[in-house]
Amino acid sequence: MSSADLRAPSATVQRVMAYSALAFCAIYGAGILLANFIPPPSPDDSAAEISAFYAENTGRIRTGTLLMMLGGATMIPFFAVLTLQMRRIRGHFDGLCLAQLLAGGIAVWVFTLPPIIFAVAAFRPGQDENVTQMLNDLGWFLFVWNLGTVTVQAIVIAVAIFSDRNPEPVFPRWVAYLNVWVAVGFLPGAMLTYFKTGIMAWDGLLAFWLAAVLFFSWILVLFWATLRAINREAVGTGSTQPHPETSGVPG
Amino acid sequence: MTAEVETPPEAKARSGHVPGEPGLWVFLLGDMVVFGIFFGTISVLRARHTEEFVTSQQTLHLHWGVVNTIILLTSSLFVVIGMHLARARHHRAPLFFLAAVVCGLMFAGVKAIEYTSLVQDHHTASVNDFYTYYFMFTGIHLGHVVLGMGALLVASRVARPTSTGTHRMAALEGVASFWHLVDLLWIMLFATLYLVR
Repeated sequence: MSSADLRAPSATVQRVMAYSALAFCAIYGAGILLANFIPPPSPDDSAAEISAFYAENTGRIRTGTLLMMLGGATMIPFFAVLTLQMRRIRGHFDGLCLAQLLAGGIAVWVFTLPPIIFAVAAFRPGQDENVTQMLNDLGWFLFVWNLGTVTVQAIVIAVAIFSDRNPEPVFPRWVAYLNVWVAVGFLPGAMLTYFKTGIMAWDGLLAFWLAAVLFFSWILVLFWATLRAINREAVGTGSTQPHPETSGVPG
Repeated sequence: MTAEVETPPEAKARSGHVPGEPGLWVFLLGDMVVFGIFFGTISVLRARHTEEFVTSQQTLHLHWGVVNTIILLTSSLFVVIGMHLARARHHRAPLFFLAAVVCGLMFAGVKAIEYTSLVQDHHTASVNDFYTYYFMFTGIHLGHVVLGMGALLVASRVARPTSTGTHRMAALEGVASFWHLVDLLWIMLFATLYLVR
């Protein structure tokens, strides 16, 4: 196993990095719930209704978006360790690893930007209703419509897993198929600009509920698969750390 | 000559053989969930806006829908025959996968005629919910057809009697399962959009 290009941290450090995905789900999920965004305000609501929603939930939205903003950043170590484990598929840092790292870095911003916009919308209760409505629209567009990077990331991970020719693959192949489904399942949300009601609207069954369930399932499965890969690397010959009894054995 | 290991049919029956590989079904069943939501949406739309639904439905080209259903059913038959020939390492096997690709192209051609005709009659996606969902769902399905044709092209190479590899039949079964799903989803779309009154 060549690792001349990049030295991986110890298995313990990698495990801690992997667990940051769970921290993300807990903190980010709690933030969404606290901000009273479940269910989302309808895109069909009038400016007065949206303005009232922000005025009545100002405190909840401010604290909820704070959790979301901080929680989004906890994905940085996870996407880094996922890339480290993907590197083991080919034994070196290849184009797919680079694409995953790039997509992961942008995804963190995708998670962080919407709560900032929502917080701005809740910053001055009683302001012009149309301004609040526009900021609310912008926040939900960034939240739900911002699906390109995550879709591409899922495809990149799927291609990497499918290309695994090791006798003991780094990730199970069904995880690749799940990634393909995640990529397909996110796409209906791309249509939300055309709808204010129905399944394709930003509060709709496909664009929001399916996408939300898919997204968190995706993160949890990636977490599980990454942790499994770290543990297998730690006990197997594919270890990139100095291992007295296995060093010198070709991986 | 070949490293392929094929399970004898009786062993498959006993162990409960999963076509392709088990992981593929994560995607196939997931895709069915998405389309299940589509069919549910169409049913709800019909129940809530029956009049608009039926009037709009009558402007669809039922005969082209029937033609496309026959085309896809035929393509599925070609895939089934192709699978049998590939298993027997018959030299004609790739031809049947290519025939299924031709069917896919014909399907896309008919869909293009339908779309053009609807747009010319001003029945565009923005007129009402029926047309919006019609164009969206059949469009997403057409995307599946295009993806499936790509998979069938790969399959026509894998189906060659000279092709080697440990997972030759599993790969073919995976492609065949996906193509049958594309066929099945079309039949459901055809029934819910064109036929149900």
